[in-house]
Amino acid sequence: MGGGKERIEKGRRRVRGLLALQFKNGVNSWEDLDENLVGSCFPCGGILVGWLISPLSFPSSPPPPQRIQSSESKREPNQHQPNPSQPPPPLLLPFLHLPSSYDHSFIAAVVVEGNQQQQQQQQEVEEEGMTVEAEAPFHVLAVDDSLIDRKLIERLLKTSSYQVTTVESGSKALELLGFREDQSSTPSVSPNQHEIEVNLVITDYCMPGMTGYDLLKKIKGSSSLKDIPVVIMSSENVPSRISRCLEGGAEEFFLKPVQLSDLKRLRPHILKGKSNCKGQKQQQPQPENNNNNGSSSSSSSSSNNCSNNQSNKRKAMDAMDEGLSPGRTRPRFSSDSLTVV
Amino acid sequence: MFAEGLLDQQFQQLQMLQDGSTPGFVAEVVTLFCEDSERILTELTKLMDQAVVDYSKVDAYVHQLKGSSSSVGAQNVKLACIQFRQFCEENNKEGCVRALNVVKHEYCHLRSKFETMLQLESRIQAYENKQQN
Repeated sequence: MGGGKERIEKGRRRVRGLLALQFKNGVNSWEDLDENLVGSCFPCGGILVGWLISPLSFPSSPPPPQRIQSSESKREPNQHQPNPSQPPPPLLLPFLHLPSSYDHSFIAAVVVEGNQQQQQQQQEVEEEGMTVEAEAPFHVLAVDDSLIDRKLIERLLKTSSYQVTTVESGSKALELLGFREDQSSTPSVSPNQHEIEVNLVITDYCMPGMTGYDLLKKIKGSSSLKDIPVVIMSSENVPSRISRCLEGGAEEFFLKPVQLSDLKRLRPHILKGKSNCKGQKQQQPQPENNNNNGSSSSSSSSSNNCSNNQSNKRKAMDAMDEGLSPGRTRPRFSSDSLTVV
Repeated sequence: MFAEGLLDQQFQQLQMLQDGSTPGFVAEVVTLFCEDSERILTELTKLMDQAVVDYSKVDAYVHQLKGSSSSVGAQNVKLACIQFRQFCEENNKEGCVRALNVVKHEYCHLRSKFETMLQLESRIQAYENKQQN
């Protein structure tokens, strides 16, 4: 069944991304995993029915299935039953209901990958996790009257795994954003009315008609759009211009020509913008067992991402949301002899 | 081209952005740059031919050209534009006329190099395609 396979594949990638992000300290016992069961449905259609843990990955045998299934069925996506006697383990292992032979090697592969990627740059994995995971990767609206610069910024953004729309003027940008002059009482949730949803606007400063600064002011003055982060670019390094823009609400000011490394500075703003726009703070109000500076993650049905203290942790997963304390250090689990399905 | 100062490291950035999924990126940008530049240079020539030069218009065009040459890494063209803008600010017609010629000269030089480069690349590409088949 073609559709099913695709979903499974999607689910795999999702779990892979999820694990890689969360698998900070490795796991060395079944108990570690067991405590963090969260039942949830993958958007790809899989149904979470319990843990599947590869017998190859861990030294001891897996917990009995009944326990797994019953605990799963009790859970709701956002709830978590922490074991008061231990800090919550860092790992969360949702999975798909798959034929059992499939399951084991799949999870094993994911666990291995999670471990291996631990040792590499996490950024890369986060990228994969983000774009593959989220149904809609972060969407940037780029505004520039120069065609060459539009091409360039589009390529830069796409290379950084953002979804991009380019327009040539501030007025077109406002149109796309659904800006209405007389908006006053729109709630600050998603600006996603009939128009596209945008997570960040990056605009040239010098444009005929409406300058980047004008556009910035319009966006910040609009109740529905004001939470969208705005970044301004200019080929001219004029300090007064820069401070004016920053004071006007711009998050960053890039000097042209913009480079790939500059785009890394976008991430914290885009994350913050998302969580503001959605008006959701999923993880923040869980102080005691939530140590946010590690592998904590937030659930995401494609457009929720809570920013954490560390803005470079991007969470784009479904199904989990809390209590993942990275505080524990565990010996790294290494297993390099697993077959990847 | 780098050694001669025609192109700076921004051009390398462009090359880095090209990958398997976007094989024609550099060529596309280069082509766009050439078309854009020629359009601007034509306009500038017209403007400078007038008895009374509208320096603000001239400056606006030069600014555009400076921007696109900077984005593409066309260093000499960009530097020539910067010079040009100086003369604009001073409303110095003679200086502007000379500067325009410098820009044109630099641009033509660069364009012929680009043409060679693109031809070479497409030959290499064709060769590689043949190899794969």
